[in-house]
Amino acid sequence: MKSIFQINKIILIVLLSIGAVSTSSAALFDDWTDNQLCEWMDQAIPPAPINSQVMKRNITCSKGIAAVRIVKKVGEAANSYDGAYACILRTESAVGQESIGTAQFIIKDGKISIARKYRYLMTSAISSYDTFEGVIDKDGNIKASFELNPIMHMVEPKSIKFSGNMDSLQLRGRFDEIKSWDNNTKAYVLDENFYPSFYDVIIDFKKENY
Amino acid sequence: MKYNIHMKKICLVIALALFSIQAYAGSCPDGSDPVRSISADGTYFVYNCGNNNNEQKSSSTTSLITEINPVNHSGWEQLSNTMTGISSHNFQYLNDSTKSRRGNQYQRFELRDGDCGSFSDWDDCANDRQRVEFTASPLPPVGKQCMAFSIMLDDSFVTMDSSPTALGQIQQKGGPTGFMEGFKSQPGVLMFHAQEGYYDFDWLYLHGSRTDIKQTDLKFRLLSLDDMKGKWTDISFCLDFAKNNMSLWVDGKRKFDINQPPTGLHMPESIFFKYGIYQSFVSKHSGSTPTQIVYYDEIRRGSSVEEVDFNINPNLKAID
Repeated sequence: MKSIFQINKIILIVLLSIGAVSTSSAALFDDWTDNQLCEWMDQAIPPAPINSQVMKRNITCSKGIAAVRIVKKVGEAANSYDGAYACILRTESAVGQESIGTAQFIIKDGKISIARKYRYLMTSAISSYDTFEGVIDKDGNIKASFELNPIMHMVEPKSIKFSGNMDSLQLRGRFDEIKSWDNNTKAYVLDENFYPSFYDVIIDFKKENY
Repeated sequence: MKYNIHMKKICLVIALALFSIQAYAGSCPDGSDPVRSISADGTYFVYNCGNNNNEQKSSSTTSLITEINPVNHSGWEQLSNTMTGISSHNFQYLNDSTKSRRGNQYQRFELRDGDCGSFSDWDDCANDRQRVEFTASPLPPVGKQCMAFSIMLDDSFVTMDSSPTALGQIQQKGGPTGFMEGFKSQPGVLMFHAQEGYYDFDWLYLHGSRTDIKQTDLKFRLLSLDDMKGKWTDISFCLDFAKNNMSLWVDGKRKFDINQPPTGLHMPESIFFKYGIYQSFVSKHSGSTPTQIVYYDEIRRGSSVEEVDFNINPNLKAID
C-alpha cells in the first residue's frame, strides 16, 4: 500500500516537473492567439515585441483581427518593366524613420541590380549594393535580397528579403534578430534586449529617364 | 533580562513618539500642526495652517486637503492622500462651472521640483520619485470594474526628458512580486503615462512565477499631449475579471478591446485606482523637473461603462 503511495508521489513529481519545464521554455507571447496579438496592432506604432511576433507568425492585422499574410508568388523574370529607376532607402522602427541611402535600380530582362553610379549608403559600405539581387515578373511583382546593416550601430549585416510590386513602387523587408558586437567575445551575438527589436527597411523607387 | 526588555519597550515608545512628531513637523510652513475641519459642502476634510495673527489669517491661510468623501453617485467610498510632506499648492478644489468638465467643482493638481514625501512603507524621496496622488479604496479583482475620469493638462504642461509621468494608474495589493533592476518590485496593473509628447495606456503584462514575476510594458497610444492642453479628455475603462478582458473609451468612443486577464495569471488580493501626478526616475531629467499642473473631474467607478461614462450615458449626474 505504502509503495503505491510512493509511486503515485513520484509520478506526480515527474508530471509537475514536466509541466514546469515546458512552461518555462515557452517564449514570450507563444500562448497568445493571433487575434490577441492583433488587438495591440491598431495604432501607428504598435509595441515592438508584439509587432515582431506578428511578423514571425506571418499574419496581418486589421481592426484587431488577424489574417494570414498572402505573399504573391513572383513568376518568371520578364522584361516588361526594364529600365532605370531612382530609389531611396529608409528604415522605420519604434524610434522613428531614418533615410539611409540612395541608389539606382537597373532592370534588364526582368533582373534587378544596382547601378555603380549614384550609390550612397550611410550605414554600410557602398559595396554592399553589389549583394543586391532581384527579379520582377510580367505582372510587376518583385522579390529581392540585399545583405546590409541598415542601422548606425555595430551590428552584423544580414541578408534581408524584400518584396513589393510596381503598383506600390515600394519594396519592404525586415531587419530583425539583431546581432550586436560583443567586445568581450570579439564576435556578433544575438542581443534580445536590442531596442528597437527590429527595423523595417523600405526602398521607394520611381522610373527615371536616363 | 526583564530589565532589558523593559528598556527596549521604553526606547521603542520614545522612538515612535519622535517619529510621530516628525511626521507632523513641517506640515505647516510655520511648523505647527494643521487643524482638520470639514469642507463647506461636507465632501472632504480640510487641514488649515493658519497664521496666529488673526488680522492676516485670511491672506495667509493655506489648505491641505488629504481626504475626499465623494458623493454617493460617484461610486467611490473614499479617496485619500496619506503621503507626508504634501504642500498646499499640490492640490486644490476649484469652483468654476465654466471651466469644470461638468458641474461646478473640479480638481487641480500641481507638482513642483522637490515635491516628494513618504508613506508608511515607501519613501518617494529616497526612490527618485515625486508625486501628488489620491488613492481610492481597494476593490476586489472580481466581476467587471469600470472607472472613468476627465483630465485636462494646463497649457504650460511639459513632460520630463525621458522619464514618464503617470496621470492615473491601477495598482494591486497582495499580487505577484519580483525584482526589477536589482530592486524588489511589486508591479501594478496599468498606468496612464504622459511621455514623449503622447498620453499612453500602459499595460504591465506580467509573466513568470508569482514570486519571480517579470513585466513587459505594452503601450496603446491614446492621444497627443498637445490635444489635451486646455481641453478636457474623458477616459473610461473596464477591467473584466470574469471574462478576462479590458476595454477603453476616449471621449465615449471605444479605443480598444484587449482579451487578456487584467492582472495576468496571478490574482492579487485587491486592486486600487490612483490619480494625480506621479513622476518616476526624476534624476534622469537634466536640471530641475518642470512644474506640472493637471486638472481632473468626473471621477467615477461602477460595474459597467454606462455607470461611469457620461458620454455614453448622459443621464449620469455631475460629480461635485
